[in-house]
Amino acid sequence: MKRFSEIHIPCGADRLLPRTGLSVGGSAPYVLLPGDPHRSKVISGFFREAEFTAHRGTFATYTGHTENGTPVGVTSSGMGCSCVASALEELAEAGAKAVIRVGTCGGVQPWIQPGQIVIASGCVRGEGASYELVPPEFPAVADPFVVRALTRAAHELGDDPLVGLYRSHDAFYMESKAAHPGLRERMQKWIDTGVLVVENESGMLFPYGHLLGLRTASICVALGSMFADPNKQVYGAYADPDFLAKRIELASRIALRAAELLKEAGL
Amino acid sequence: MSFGSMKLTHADGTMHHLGIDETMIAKRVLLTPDPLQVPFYAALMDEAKKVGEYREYVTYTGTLNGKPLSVMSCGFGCMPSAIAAEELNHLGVEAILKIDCCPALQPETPVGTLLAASGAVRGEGATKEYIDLSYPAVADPALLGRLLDSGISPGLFRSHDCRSLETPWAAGGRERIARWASLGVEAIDGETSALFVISSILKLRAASLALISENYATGERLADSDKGKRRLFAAAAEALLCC
Repeated sequence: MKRFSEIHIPCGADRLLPRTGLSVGGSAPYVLLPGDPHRSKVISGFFREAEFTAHRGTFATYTGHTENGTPVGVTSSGMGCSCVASALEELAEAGAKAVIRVGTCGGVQPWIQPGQIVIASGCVRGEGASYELVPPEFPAVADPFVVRALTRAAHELGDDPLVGLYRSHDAFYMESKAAHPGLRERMQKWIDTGVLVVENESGMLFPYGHLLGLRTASICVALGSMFADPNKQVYGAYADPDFLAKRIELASRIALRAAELLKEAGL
Repeated sequence: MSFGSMKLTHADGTMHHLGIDETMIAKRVLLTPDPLQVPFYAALMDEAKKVGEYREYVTYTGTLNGKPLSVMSCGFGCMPSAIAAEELNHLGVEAILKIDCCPALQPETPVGTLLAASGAVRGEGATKEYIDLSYPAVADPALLGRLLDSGISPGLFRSHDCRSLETPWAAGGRERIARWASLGVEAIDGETSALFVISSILKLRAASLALISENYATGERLADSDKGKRRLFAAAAEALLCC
């Protein structure tokens, strides 16, 4: 059987990759991967010389450079591991080398504060997609070079991020502050085993990146702990949209600085 | 086991993911995965206005034949679609019907066929968090019945998360497809099983109607999908709004 990195996706009649609309070889080597398609444009605002590249489905791509001229792109995936799989397959074909997810997450530990930046070292595979690829014992591990670059970049920009385990899953309303009854019982083993946050993409991003030959990592902003303010209908960080936007901007700038560090290191 | 999620909103009262409130949505909603396809379907209504655009959820609300109707994107895959079902339920929606272009697995299904999901293989992760695999993903019988009344055939769908793995070009893809074909599965998509299981738990009516745009067994592909999508919309809207 062929290795995943040897598979080629058939292009459409327009010679573009069918889901993202990218051309083969048309991606920057360092790519930020937000979930929200609207966030692609926002993040491209932090580039030097940003250009619109393509938008199909939930996949909106802009390409440009960082302050020191490192070539970077941003491609949104849409939420969930299903979308991440499509984005990764086509980014690999389009020539990306490193893909850094930038997004939001919910705190598992009760002490996680709104706005806290969390970098993943690895991820509990609580989602469905990765089980179609690799057996359950296969670990979802972030690329250690990208994790190191993200951590250094965060310190350079004056932030003190948490670095640790994520949990990915597919059912927001089973594991969030708005969840169906029994949340504490469902989450207790993840609290006890030191999982920091839940989100919906990294469980697929890390193992599939590994199979496709891409370096992958995640940096997310916590909306607050899922156990905080149980009677409030609004997640902590959403109470002040400007604050959340500023924290997502910082996470994006950390990821862009990490791209520069990766390029300097020849990665 | 009890269910009852909390209504999670932004500070302005719109839903956390959908970005809309009760005043912006009809009781009956057509769903389609791709946000960029929503304007195409909205243009087939008598009148429709964009009321929401947040993340992958684009919503148009208006009327068709004098009856209120919304068309909304649910995102690609069961993860965003589960959220769509949950939040529409919080907004008081009564019935949802997913419309999409899907590949067929059986050689006797020509492209251009409209196929209604009777049930779906739960090959995805989202619904496993709600209830174990013994629970079936089944269409709402009344809504499915109305689709059958208009001459549409029913069949089993398979919904799963890593869509590219079950394509003819994937590594081992043909073998993976053949397994489901041999079990009589008619079509593959990414969303139906979550819509069915979660709607069943939340007591929301759900159905799913596909336009077969490609046949993996014969290699046939639909040349002009716009014409087919207009038929898809018309059949779905009629079943959703008829009673």
